[in-house]
Amino acid sequence: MSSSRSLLEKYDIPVSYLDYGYINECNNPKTLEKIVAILRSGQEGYFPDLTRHAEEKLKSLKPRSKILRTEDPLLTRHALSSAEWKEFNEPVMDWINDMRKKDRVLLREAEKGVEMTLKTPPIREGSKKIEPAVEKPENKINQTKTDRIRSTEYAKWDKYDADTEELKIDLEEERVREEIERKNRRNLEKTAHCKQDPVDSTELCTLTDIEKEKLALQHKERGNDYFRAKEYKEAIWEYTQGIKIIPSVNGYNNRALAFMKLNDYQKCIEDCDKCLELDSRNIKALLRKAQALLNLDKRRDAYDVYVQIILFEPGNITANNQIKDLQKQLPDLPPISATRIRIIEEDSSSGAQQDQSNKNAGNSFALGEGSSIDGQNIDRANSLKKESKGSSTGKDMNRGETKSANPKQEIKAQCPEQDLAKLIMPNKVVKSKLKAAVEKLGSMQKQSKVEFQKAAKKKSDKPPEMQIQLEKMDRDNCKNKVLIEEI
Amino acid sequence: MDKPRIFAHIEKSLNYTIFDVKWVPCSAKFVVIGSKPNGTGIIQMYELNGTEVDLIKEIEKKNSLKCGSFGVSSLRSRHLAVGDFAGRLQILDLERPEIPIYNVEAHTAIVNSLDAIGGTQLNCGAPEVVTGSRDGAVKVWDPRQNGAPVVDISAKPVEEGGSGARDCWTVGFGNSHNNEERCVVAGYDNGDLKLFDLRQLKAIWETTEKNGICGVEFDRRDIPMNKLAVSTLEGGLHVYDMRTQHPIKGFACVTEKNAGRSLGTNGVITGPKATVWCVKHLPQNRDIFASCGGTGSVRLWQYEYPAKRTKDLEDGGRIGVPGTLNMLHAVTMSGQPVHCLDWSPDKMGLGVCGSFDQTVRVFVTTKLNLY
Repeated sequence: MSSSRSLLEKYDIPVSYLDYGYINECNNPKTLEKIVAILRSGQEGYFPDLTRHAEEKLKSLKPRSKILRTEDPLLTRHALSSAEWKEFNEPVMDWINDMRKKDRVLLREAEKGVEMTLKTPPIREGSKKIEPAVEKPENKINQTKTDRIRSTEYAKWDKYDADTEELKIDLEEERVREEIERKNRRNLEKTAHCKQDPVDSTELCTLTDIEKEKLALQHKERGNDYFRAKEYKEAIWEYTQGIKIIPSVNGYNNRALAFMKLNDYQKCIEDCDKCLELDSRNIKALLRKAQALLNLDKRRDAYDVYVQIILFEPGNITANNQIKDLQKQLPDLPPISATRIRIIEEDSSSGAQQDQSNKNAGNSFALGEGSSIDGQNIDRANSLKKESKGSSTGKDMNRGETKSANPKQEIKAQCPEQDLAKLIMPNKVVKSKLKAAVEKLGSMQKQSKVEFQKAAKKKSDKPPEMQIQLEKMDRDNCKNKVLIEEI
Repeated sequence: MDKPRIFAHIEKSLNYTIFDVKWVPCSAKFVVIGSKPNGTGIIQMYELNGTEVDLIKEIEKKNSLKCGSFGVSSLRSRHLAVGDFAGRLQILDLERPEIPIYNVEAHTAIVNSLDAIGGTQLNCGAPEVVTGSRDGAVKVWDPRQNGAPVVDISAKPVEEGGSGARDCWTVGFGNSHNNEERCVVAGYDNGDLKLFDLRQLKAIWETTEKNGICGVEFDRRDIPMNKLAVSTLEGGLHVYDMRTQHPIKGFACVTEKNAGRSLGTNGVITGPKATVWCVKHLPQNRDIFASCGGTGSVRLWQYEYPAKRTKDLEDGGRIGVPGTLNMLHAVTMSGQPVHCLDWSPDKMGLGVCGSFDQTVRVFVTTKLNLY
């Protein structure tokens, strides 16, 4: 004890520092660490409260300080309340059941005795030996030292040229350095742009779904790893491999985000759209798409996407804020506080039928809107709608099959924005005239969506091929303004 | 609380010494590999069942078993490679364990450690097992080739002018991102750490830590070398950034001297130093790993990359820049050293660990998805 200095001396800290006042004012985490260490050691006496005070101060200054690290006792089930335990245990139980099913499938597969026929590289040729020591330039130098020339061997010294020897050593060092540098370069190339295409569809055919899933998951996880390390190109490569094995919502979503990080917004939007094809209500994909559109300065399109998000998830904070912002920037944007009737095509069989049903749908609304409507106005609106609809269906027909996914953009591309704005602008005339219709619709909204569909079907003479979906956002506000959007 | 926490899910006391635990891929089962008091080897397979584990299989072998891995076989076959005290390497079909699929006298002494690769991944090279043994040799085996290793890394004895054999405590594969490239890293009792390139067939890097090396693991085996975690006696924990090698200084490294320190008063980590037995990276996030300590602790670490991972030097060379280590959580798992741990490849945060008090513990880590 006497031989070793006290911590106070070792750290060179005056006793006066061990004080509430000083600790309060001290802003140097290193000094505080020392103070805490001294107080904890008990060499200057035990001051539990002062120690705690110093620890708290240090925590506020440097939360990750090494001396604040603690180790907790292991928590068991008995330490948790039954509700907490349930919350904690249920996912594990679900996972166990899920895994059992997969396991059974794999065991059955194993019993069949069919081995995977994946291509594997050949066995390494012959038995090779490696000496576990790195070749070093120093080793060579040592060797030259062993056959060093004695000071008395004048003849040899005559032949010895210091410069060439030095040069030799330099060259040797240079050689090693170059080799390592070459390796580094190769390492960089490897990571920068990956390898050959490992996913071979013929190989994949021999895999079961579970095996494919697992492979895709591995790629996704590796992609996430790269993403976290901010190596987006590699991440995209991994996600692409995963998507090639199994196209998944998460895969597309993740890749979209990686594209966004690389400022490749067009590709980001493409991926979002692909993701929406798989899951049309994926909020993440919608948010990402809207953000990418904003970055491309397509504010109106972005606004539409945000409105869509609000429809699916009224409480979404980002969407709400963005909508407010956009409305400030572009005052002529349509308000969102309205019921939207979206007409979603679902695998219509032929264009002609579609057109007809289009008209039916249109007419049914016209009928519903009653006689008080100014004919001209509605006609114009209707014709506009038809125009846009017609062109889009025409295009779809050319493609051979219509998808319910998102023809919205195409419509946008074909009808100029002004028309659309006119169409959806809260036109005062229409608004007042529409009120009657709104009230009718409003009463129907109280019923469920399905019921509304039925009602709509009843109204039209023929049952329309199209599915009419009513998406309401805010039941209270919906009666003020009405916006009928056709997609 | 947005910090991860480790909860004990199931504890199971066993009547033999545990040496290794491994999850069976794509299932809720794990195997425990160990040694019975009478010196025979034992493999037990357990399946999770609510708050219990059910013993579903038990295999006895002639010699005590030290280590095992499923890495060499496909998901549907799930063969287990095991190394035993007599230096034998076997690959077992757990459905028909009596006759091993592959059986070779790999070493003249105990197989301390093995690692396997190439079973499930596509295009990451041949299925191979690497074994490290007390006889000082590190050997790479291909299950398709009987009798002889495909690569033998053993030092010449001192009498023949070699560096002399040291006890190899731990081995691991890495850098296996295509069909050609592959590396083996080996840690020895004297603190030597060596990296061998199997394509070039030579040692490409070596360094010496202060203490014997107990655990090495690349953060991922099947990507271009990224990070290497190394744990040693006396509580050392090192993480090397394997992207950039400097001709003289080698790879950049961040060191945590007190990773194995035991508890002092009030749960504060201030006690004496203890061995860090192993390091295991989370399969779902390569920047998080667990270290198991000689004091019965399991600690969760996060490696944070620096802003730039390389730095250009004045002489035109490049050098790696180490990141920082952040301890996320620490928990006292057992009164005895925890010496083996395995993360479930199928469920994030689910792990199993074995300790010298003859107990296996299944634990769940919460909130890992936030990192």
